[in-house]
Amino acid sequence: MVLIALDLKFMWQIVPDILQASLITIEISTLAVLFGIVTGLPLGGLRVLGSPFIKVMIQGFVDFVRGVPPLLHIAFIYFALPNFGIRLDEFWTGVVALTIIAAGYEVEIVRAAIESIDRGQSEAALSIGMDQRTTLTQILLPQALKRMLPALTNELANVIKASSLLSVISVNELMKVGNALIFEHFVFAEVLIQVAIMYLVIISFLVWLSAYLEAQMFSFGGLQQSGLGAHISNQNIR
Amino acid sequence: MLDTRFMIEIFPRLWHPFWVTIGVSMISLLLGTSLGASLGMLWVMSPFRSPIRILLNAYVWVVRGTPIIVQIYIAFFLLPKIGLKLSVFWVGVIALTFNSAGYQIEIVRAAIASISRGQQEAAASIGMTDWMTMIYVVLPQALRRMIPPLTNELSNLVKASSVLSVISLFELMKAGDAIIAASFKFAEVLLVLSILYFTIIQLLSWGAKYLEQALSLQQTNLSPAGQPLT
Amino acid sequence: MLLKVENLYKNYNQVPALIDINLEVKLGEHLVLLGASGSGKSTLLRCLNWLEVPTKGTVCLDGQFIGGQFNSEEQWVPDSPPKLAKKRREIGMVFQGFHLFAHLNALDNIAIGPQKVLKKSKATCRELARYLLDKVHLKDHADKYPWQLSGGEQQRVAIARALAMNPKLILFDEPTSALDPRLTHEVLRVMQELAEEGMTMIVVTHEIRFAQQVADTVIFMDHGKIVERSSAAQFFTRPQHQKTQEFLSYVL
Repeated sequence: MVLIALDLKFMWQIVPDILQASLITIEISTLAVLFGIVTGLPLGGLRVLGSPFIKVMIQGFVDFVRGVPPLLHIAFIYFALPNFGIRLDEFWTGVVALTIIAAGYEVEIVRAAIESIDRGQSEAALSIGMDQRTTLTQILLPQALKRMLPALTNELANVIKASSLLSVISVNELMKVGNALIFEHFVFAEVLIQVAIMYLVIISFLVWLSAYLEAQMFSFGGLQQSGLGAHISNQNIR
Repeated sequence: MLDTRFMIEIFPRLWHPFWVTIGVSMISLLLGTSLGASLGMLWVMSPFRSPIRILLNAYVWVVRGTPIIVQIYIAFFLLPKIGLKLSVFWVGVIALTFNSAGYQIEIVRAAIASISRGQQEAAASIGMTDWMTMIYVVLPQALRRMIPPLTNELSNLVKASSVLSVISLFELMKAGDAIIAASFKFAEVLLVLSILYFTIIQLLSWGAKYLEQALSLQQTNLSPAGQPLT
Repeated sequence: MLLKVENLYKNYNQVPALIDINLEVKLGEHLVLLGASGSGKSTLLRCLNWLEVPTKGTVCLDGQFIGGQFNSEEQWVPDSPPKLAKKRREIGMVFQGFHLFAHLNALDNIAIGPQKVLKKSKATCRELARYLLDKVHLKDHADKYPWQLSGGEQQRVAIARALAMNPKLILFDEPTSALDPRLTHEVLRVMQELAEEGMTMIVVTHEIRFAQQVADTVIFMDHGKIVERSSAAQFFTRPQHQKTQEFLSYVL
């Protein structure tokens, strides 16, 4: 069978390309997650403390982002940005698209983290005269940030999976490079196996890291986590 | 600003692809559930660290640790090579089925584990073997508990079906791409697509919440006297 | 001699739960196990149908060993799961938590054993189930599901479920401990009726009055050992051992 007769020499040859493309994948995904946090923090905070109208709006945004296939977001950014005169190179187009996808999940992560903090904290803050905004920034967010780490790590794993979809536009991440190699050299097994292994390694590491961080949380001064990371990670991107 | 007339015009052209999307998702869900439930049962009934469990764990690990597009390409290239010349629709179904089954093994395991040990002991005490307990006592209850997460799974499959556009299956996403390529009206097309996908998925999530409520009335684990049932 | 237990030991991770248990039960006898929590009574009961596997010792029902057998070289060969399942048909068990099958109504809960395990016809099983439901005074509850029944009703269905298999003896593991006090009497009444009909019963319970009325023999356990065993009459009027006397002084 064809599977047994793998061209090992070729597989060795493409390793540098694979590794380099993986690096791009990791870069894009990490940036997307970080930018996602930058947008997710205020949105998440508002989701918890805002007026009912704002809560509904933000929840609607989140539901929309998550209720639509990621490819649609990617297609939209790909067409929309040039249309509004924003000419980004492929790399940054990819980052923007992934950021939107990431933000949709990260608002939930931020919200869950804030809500997992004991009500007493915000009540105490309010009782000494802090307003909502100060309570959020001085008391709730610092505590929430620590709790978000396991979920964010898991989110990074999800974004890395989503980044493979950038192969449909011309971002040179791992899947795109794999695709190119397949069609250039008319082989598939050798390439796909390495691509799959690469993703598997990266994602497994992140999932393990996420679980490790979550375990760490439990041992630090009895933080009552109630499985925050696990709950969020049930929202999987394929 | 948006050409709303155009948006309405393209609906007929999306009719057939819409049903391709639904079809591929639902078939994959059914097949994926059958496969996932069987494998899940197998996993639960195998001893700790047995070869079966190790193999199944590896399968789940790979399916969950690689992007769906990779799995789709694998199906696309591999199936012809092992002699299966299928249309892209069925290639897509196979890829989505194996993907879904990988996630559903978890769902099945959780559902089975949620059925109390007490009922299993009671079944053993009247002389049922492990297999009989599984088939007559555990599974009927587990399958009912799986319905809410399964509806969520269908949503995920609908989203994943859009990726089948890369192997040229003429589902919703691919059809939208084609219309954009012809008309350049990307905003209108993408908006229509978004509405269609979003509607499907919102309906599914409401359906799931409804089902969950309908079932939880039955499964409320308190007898009228307020004592915990098993 | 219906049941014979010899040199039974059970350890959990080196911690002994049962130490050198020896007892015999005659056909038609009603044995009650008494003792404080943790004394090992439930563990002993669960060893009898091999829901717990003893560390050492044997349980013999009507000449057949439960959980395994001795081969021609006097070696112990554990039962295969199907064989163990078959032997369990002879022993009925009623649990503290009732554990009715949640997806079946009362009638089917009782009928499923004979139907699927004994492979009797559906019609026969349903008839049997109706008969047993009537016997536990729940004739009109056939179509009700466990969540629609009170604890006492569920437990009575559980007793009927055990009876449906026509066992040689029935084990009761604190059958009324999870019940509202108002509901215990209906279960105890059914158990008493069973006893009067001659069913061999081993009961772990805290219901002293029931024990006084129904038991032929009483065994008192403490820290995994049998401390005293005597006829019911003697046990309650002239307890021999100091620990027994202490226990009785608390409960009587």
